[in-house]
Amino acid sequence: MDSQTLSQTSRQIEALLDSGEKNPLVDFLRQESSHQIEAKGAVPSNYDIFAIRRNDQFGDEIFGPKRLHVGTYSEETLYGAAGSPVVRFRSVIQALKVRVERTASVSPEELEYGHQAALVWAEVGRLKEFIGTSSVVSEIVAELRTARFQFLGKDTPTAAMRAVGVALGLVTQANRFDTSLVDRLVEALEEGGIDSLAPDALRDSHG
Amino acid sequence: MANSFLDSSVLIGLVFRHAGERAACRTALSDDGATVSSRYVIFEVARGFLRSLIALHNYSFEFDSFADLHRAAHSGQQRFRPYSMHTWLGAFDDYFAVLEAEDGVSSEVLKLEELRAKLRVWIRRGWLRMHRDFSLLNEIDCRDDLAPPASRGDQRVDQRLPDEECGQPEACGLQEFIRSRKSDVESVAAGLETLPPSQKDKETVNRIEGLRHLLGKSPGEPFVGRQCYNCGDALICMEAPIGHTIATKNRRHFEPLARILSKPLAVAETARSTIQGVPPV
Repeated sequence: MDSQTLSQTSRQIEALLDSGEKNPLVDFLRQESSHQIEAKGAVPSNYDIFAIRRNDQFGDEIFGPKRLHVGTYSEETLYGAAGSPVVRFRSVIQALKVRVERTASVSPEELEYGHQAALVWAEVGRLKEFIGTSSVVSEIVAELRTARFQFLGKDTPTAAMRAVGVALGLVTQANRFDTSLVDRLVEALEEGGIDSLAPDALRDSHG
Repeated sequence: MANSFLDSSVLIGLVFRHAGERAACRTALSDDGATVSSRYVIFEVARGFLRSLIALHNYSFEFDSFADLHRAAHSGQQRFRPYSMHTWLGAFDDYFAVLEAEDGVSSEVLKLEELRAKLRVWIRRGWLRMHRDFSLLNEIDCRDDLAPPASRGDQRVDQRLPDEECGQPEACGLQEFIRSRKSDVESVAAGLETLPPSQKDKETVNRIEGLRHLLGKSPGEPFVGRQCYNCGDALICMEAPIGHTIATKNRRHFEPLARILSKPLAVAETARSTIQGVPPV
């Protein structure tokens, strides 16, 4: 194109398009394209959620509807309900805290204590899915996994279980996830004899 | 009542090592006295052991997976050698294997993220505990304004160490310390010189040279900062106050120094007490 025929504005637009670097014009065009594709291409889905009603005592011979329509939800609603990973993390920690507190209230001499402790540690193990959510969440999960590491194949003392409960309580009560929260969590775990530096013990066989 | 003065190896052992190592280090401490260390010892930890943890954390960003980082550390690269950095990765390899056996496979990317998370906590809390758990004296008048390690916007951890100011009289009090302890410094240099060749390793030879370098300086004349590092164990021994037992894991270097200076010494016997060519950590 002959640059002599272009206005000043046109030349600026052309320069922005040719620059190859991130700039507001390219961002704008990218967003517009995305909106157009969404509007014309993929139609948002709705989800009908049903609950199946059954009764173990009466089998299929139950009165009333067996299939209950819970509701119809848009993609957006379901996505919002699922929440961010941090919200999910808080929710999982809250549920875990309840389980830990229940376990800590059982006598360690009872079979139930060992059973519940095994379930607690299994749930701690599943927290690994949250590693990478944020640096603070990664640190919290890493510390809880270190606690799990220490009690693999051995009894979990009630002091340690209580300490895990206190540590989880700090997370559920925290308004902000910051490094001071992690430091307080580590100290709470240490109160119960849980050693943040436990993996270091494996170093001695690599010297 | 006996007080204990921690050298850098025991300070590291108490703050950065696992429970078993901490218990072993505590055997070198008196039960009823105070436990103190110094700003000089903290600077030594900051520019050595802690620096290696920070470096390992930051090197990890050059790799996409824990396995890649591990391979690089064992490839003989010079930068992974200080404080046996590869041994951390070996330990984490075992650690992740144990957890994977219970919780299922973790991706190499997540392992790398988890390694970084653990290192960050150890670095941050280690620094905090060195300052919180022990009284710190500063007879040498070393820098007491070291900033804590901090995470930058790009997630790397950094700690500004003013080591370019080491040896500058306006920023460093070592020269005055040397002047005030001149006879001790001379005794140590002369005493180390008389050690049999089997005990005079490279580090000891550098220490003798360093002490003589410092003794040869006129008041106010700058000296080579590196010489301060070379004299480390001798300076720590001299800085230990009367009435304090020096606690160390480094028998080889501290025994002759304590003998020359007639200072009590307690050696913590641990898996990593004085290994040839490797600083005890």
